[in-house]
This record gives sequence, structure tokens and C-alpha cells, in this order.
Amino acid sequence: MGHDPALTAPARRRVVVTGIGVISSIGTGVAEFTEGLREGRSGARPITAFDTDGFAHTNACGIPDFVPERWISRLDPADLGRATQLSIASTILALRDARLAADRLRDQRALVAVGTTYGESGELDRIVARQVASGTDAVDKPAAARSASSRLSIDVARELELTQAEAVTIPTACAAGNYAIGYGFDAVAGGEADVALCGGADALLRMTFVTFYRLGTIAPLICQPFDRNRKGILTGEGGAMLVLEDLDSALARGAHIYAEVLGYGLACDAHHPVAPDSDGIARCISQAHRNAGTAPWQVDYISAHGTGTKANDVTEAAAICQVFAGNLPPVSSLKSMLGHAMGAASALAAAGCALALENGFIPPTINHAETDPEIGIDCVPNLARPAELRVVQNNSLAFAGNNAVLILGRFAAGRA
Amino acid sequence: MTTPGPVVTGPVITAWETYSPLGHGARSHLAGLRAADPSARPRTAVPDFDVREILGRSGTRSMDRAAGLAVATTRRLLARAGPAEAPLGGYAPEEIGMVLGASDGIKSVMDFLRDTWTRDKPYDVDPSHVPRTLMNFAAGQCAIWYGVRGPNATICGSHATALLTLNYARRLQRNGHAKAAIWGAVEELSADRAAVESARLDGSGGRPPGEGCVMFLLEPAAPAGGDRPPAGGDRPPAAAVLAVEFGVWSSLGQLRGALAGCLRRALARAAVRRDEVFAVAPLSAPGSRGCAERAGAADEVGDVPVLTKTADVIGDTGAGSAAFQIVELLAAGAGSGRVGVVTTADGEGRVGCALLRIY
Repeated sequence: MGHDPALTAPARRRVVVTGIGVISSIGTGVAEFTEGLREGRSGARPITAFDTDGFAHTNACGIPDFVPERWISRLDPADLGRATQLSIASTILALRDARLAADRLRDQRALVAVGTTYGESGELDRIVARQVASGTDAVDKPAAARSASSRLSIDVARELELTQAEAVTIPTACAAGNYAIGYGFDAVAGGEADVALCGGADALLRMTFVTFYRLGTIAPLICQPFDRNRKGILTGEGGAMLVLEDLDSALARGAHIYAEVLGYGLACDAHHPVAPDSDGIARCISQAHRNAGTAPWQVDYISAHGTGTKANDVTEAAAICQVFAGNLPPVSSLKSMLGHAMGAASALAAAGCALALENGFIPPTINHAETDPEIGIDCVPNLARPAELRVVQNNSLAFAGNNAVLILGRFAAGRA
Repeated sequence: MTTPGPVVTGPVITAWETYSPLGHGARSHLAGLRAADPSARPRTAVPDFDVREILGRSGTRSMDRAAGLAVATTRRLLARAGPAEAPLGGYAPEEIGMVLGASDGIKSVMDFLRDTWTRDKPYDVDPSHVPRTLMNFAAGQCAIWYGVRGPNATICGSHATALLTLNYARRLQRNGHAKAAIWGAVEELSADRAAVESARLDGSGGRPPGEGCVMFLLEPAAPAGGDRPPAGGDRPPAAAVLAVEFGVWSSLGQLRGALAGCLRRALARAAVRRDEVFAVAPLSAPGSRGCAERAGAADEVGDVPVLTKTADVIGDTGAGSAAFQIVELLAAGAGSGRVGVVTTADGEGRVGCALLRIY
């Protein structure tokens, strides 16, 4: 599986996933999350994060039992917005999983890249709510301090006391997790970082719910991607961070290797602020394969963006068909289980892909009754499927036409 | 796990443009900067900038000020980069990336949220206001307006934003995702932003909030022996990007050392001697943070001129600040072939620097 030298940087190092940290509506940590994916668990439940009076639908995939104090020790969770808490906590889980002590990382060149959609907009809502209630312009100071989305990345570095980290927040909406993982891949592959801590985080927010409710895309109870009777998305939340290292250092320290990052691609529709475009998505998929040195026929499984809206499902399926012609691998949507965790979504899905490679199964599309006849794909309905996977593809699309596709492979020593 | 970093022969900046409180366009900005009296009250707003007047009434109805500034600045940059028959500087739409540094769109988000609290129903909001509540709206608008179909990214990191954005654009190009990149940073002025940022300061003082946008064109380094970028036609380089480095401080007492260490790594990576450095353009935040930043820079590059006029004159341009620092450095070093240093130390814990050889 060689890389095209014309398109890749000089002497790219192989990059592997050696740690996974997940906080999700179907489980926290690798073991619970894997079990959830294999069982086809649903994270849907009534919203408790905010008042839903006046809304006809009130389900989402929240994590009501997330306790930031369990994970965050150096910084005070009270000083952090919920998305920042999720990004830090999932990073700590990832480092524990990788068996990397923070003091070992302290003076290494690290990239901390956290993707997000709404960042800390929830804190701005706190400020506005108080202003409206009080009839004044007074700004809630602690909320103002928490309200910067730039803190999702830097506070990870501060919690871990990293000294040489580049801490960047990548707010490319619902493709942000893949962007951040791709960026970590480039930094490590190019020899510019020893380790990358990368993924995404978003909190379940009233603002997000209102937005998608107004757009008419909130499903009443469950999320049914690719189903003829799909009714839209469920909003969700979560944090998913990966530890990426170069292969040699991972082998040298005897790290467990979940998967190899083979490459990724980015492309912009340059077409519409919110509507997806199948040509842009298809181009992005092809870019990803070119970057990874893979061909579509090698792909054993596609984790779809799969939001459960008609606009997404039909457009994304068309793009996949365009690239894969008559040779479609199984395609499933983790959002059927996790809801749409916004900027965390593609990071959660990337974690799911790595775990699928490791454990030899394809996560299902749950809540499935009848596949939309407009969509000619095998969506792995309802039950996880055992499968020896070698190459998997993780799609993500976002408002602003920001597409990002990540390619992971089962790690095999000796492959170059 | 530590490995020596490679010596980087960086890509080059071949064009830049701006809308700033000093005027519309690079020429007005530089003239304004030369003429400005740094002791006078800062001019913080881009004058005569009404989005719909500047860009026209089509496609601008729901555009916020940040997106308007970014689109207008991109238009100027592309006009500077090439003739109409070779749009996008002669690159194919798929080959060129767009990377924009931005902060939380505080006004757009708070306006939207106010509607959710004050109208009959919480969801009684204007759906056309949804896209601009997302931080990647402006970058997406730039892509739509000018057909930039390569990688499109938005980068966020307080006052380090523009340096992080430069590094993202550099890596896109270095790793084969784009041949060239339009990159820059934008910040808008609003009463909401001023109020939120002032509440964050907690009385410790700061520059008045300012606004503006700078966009740059980043192209591949010239092949060995050449002095022109290979793909972009005949644009001479304004600067070569030699190194971009970052670090983290937790307490103010660590800041000076963190910045010095960051600069030391950058100088080593770029194989630049400290006597090649002609000036430093720091963020220079008011108070002890700025003092520590300037001291850390002096520890590594010695007693060189410290350029802070832009911020003195146009205020705190937030996410855009390091882009304006680069512009001041480019103007000061033009024609010298010497190395200029941009540094930053934001209020959240980042330090960063970029080394630019200025032509």
C-alpha cells in the first residue's frame, strides 16, 4: 500500500492510534463504548440538560451521568465549560488507555487539536439568559471566562501541564473531529510532533436543539439513518480523543496499537452554507484515498456521516455510489446510536472505526425498519456484523461545505 | 519518543491584503500606520465598512461583519494575486485551500440566543441566522464567493489564532493537501464582544477591542537556486516562513521561559542565528503578561527593535492580532532579506512565534 510520492510530504512516518478516550451517551471508556457499539445500544433519552417546555419533541443523546470531577484534577471543573470538560476528560481517558503518563509527555512536542461545532456557546446562553431575566446588560463574569471556544484545546494542555504543546481548536462544525485527527496525523507523520492528542468535543446545548428544531430536523424519539421513514436527527454530546504516535516510538515502548492512520482528505463544496453537495463529498473521498495510498475497492467498511435527515442520507449515499461504483462496502451510521454529537461526532466515529478494526465487527445502524429505496446501500441494519476489516473509511460533512474523510487501516507490521 | 525536528525550508508569502481601522487595502493600512500617532486614542473600527455596501446586496443579507470583512479582504487579495483571466492566483479551484482564523462569533450567537429568550416560542428564530452562528461560516463564505474548493478550515486559539492558522496552512501545503493556501484571520467589533471580553479581564485592563482582517497567499517554496515560487506565476516572495512554534505556560512566572524556549526551538529548527534577527513584533498585551513576553523574546534574540505600533494604533484585534503583527514586520523589513520574529502570549496559556525571512 505505497504512498504517491508526488502528493505526500518527504519521508512520511507511519502513524498509529495507541490510545482512545471516549465519553458518550452509550458508554464511557473503550470497554463500555465497544460493548455499546457491538450491542447496538441507543443513547436516546429525555433531555434533562435544559428546559424543554414548549417543544413537541424532547429526546436527545445526552450524558446526564458525566461527572467531570472523576477525571479532571488539576484544573477546577467549575472554571470550565461543559465542552472543555468533555475534551479534557476524554483526553485523560485516552492517555490512560495508551498507558502514557502525563509527566512523560510534559516536555515532548505535542499537538493538541480539538474539533468542535458550538464550542462554549452554552456559556454565552447563560449570559444572555441572565441578561434577559434581569433586564440589564450585566455580563455573568464566570460564564464569560468559560465562554471562549479556544479553551477546549489549551485547557487540555494546562491540565496535563504540557510545556511544548501546540494547542489549537478547530471549529469546522460537524466535520471537526476528522479535521483534528487529520491534523494530528500530518503533524506526527511529518515529524513535527512526537504525539498528537486529537479529536472533538461538544456539549448538549439548548442552542443546538433550538437550531435544529427550527430547521425541522429533530426526530421525535429515535434516529433512523437510511430508513424510508427516517424523521431526522437527535442532538447529542460527547468527547472523543485519540492518541497518535509514530509507529517506531509506539513499538519501542510496547504500546498497544489499535489501528494505523493511513491518511485523510479535505474538500470544500463552495456551494451552499448548509446544504450538502454530492460532488464535493465524492471529491473529498477521492482526496482521502489519494492521500492514504488506498483505493476504494480496498475499503471494507464505511462509517457514514449518516445524520438521519433525507438531505444528508440521499446526498451522501449518492456520493459514495459515485466513488465506489458497483462495489459498495457495508455503510453504517453510528449516529443511530449516539445521536449527532456535532464536532465530537466524527471523532466518536473514528474511535468506533478503530475499535471495529481491532475487534473484527461492523457497528450497526440501529432503529432500522426498511431501507430507503433511493439509497442502494447495505446499512448493516440493527445487528453488529462480524467482519475481518483491513481498511475503513470515516465520512464527515459539515455546514459551510466542510467535508473531511479519514482512512484507517488495521495495523500490520511490515506494511509500508 | 523525542526525535530531532527536520530543518524546514518553508513556503513563501507572496501577497497580502487587509481591511483595517486604518483603511481599506494594504496601501491605506501602511500609510495610516506610518502616519499614526501611537499616543493618540486608538481607531478601532474599520471605517465606512457596511457589508452590503462593500459587497453588494446579493448574498449578504444574513452575513455578519466578520464574514463580510473576510470575504472583502479575500476579494482584494485575489485581485492582487492575479488578473481576472487567472483567478485564484492561477491555481485550480481544487488545488488551493482556504484557512481562516476566527474567534467565537459572539454577536451573532448572542443575537440568536436573545431571540430564543424573548420571542413567543424559543424556536421562533430566523432560520437564515443559523449559518452565521457557526464559527466556520466566514471561511465557508469565502469559498462560496470565490469558488475555492480545496481544503477549507477554520482555526481558533485566542491571540495565537493567526500563528496557529499560518501553521495549519503551512502543513496543508507541506503534506500535499493543497498546492497553495489563502489564509488569514478576522475579528469583528461589537458591543457584545466588548462586554464579554471586558468581563473576562476582571478589571486588569486591556487595549480597547479593535477589528479587521488580513489575508495572505501562501505558496510553495522556490526550488533550490530559484527565487520565485514555481506555480504562482511571477509573484516575488514577500517572506519565507522559516518556522512556527508553540508552547504553554500555566502561571505568569513561567511565561518568559516558555516563550524563550519556544523561540529557541524555532531558531534551531530554522537554523537561524540570533544576529540575523532584525526585529520582534510581539502581541505585547498590557501589563505583566506583555512584559514577560517581551523579556522572553529579548532573552533569545537580544536587544532588537520591538514593533508594537499596530496594536497601539488600532487596539486589540483578538484573533486577528498576530496577522497584523506579521504585516507590521513585513513593512519594517521589506527589502532586507533579514529575519523577523512574531511572538504571542495569550491570556489562556499559549505562547507562540513565527520566524519570517523578509524580502
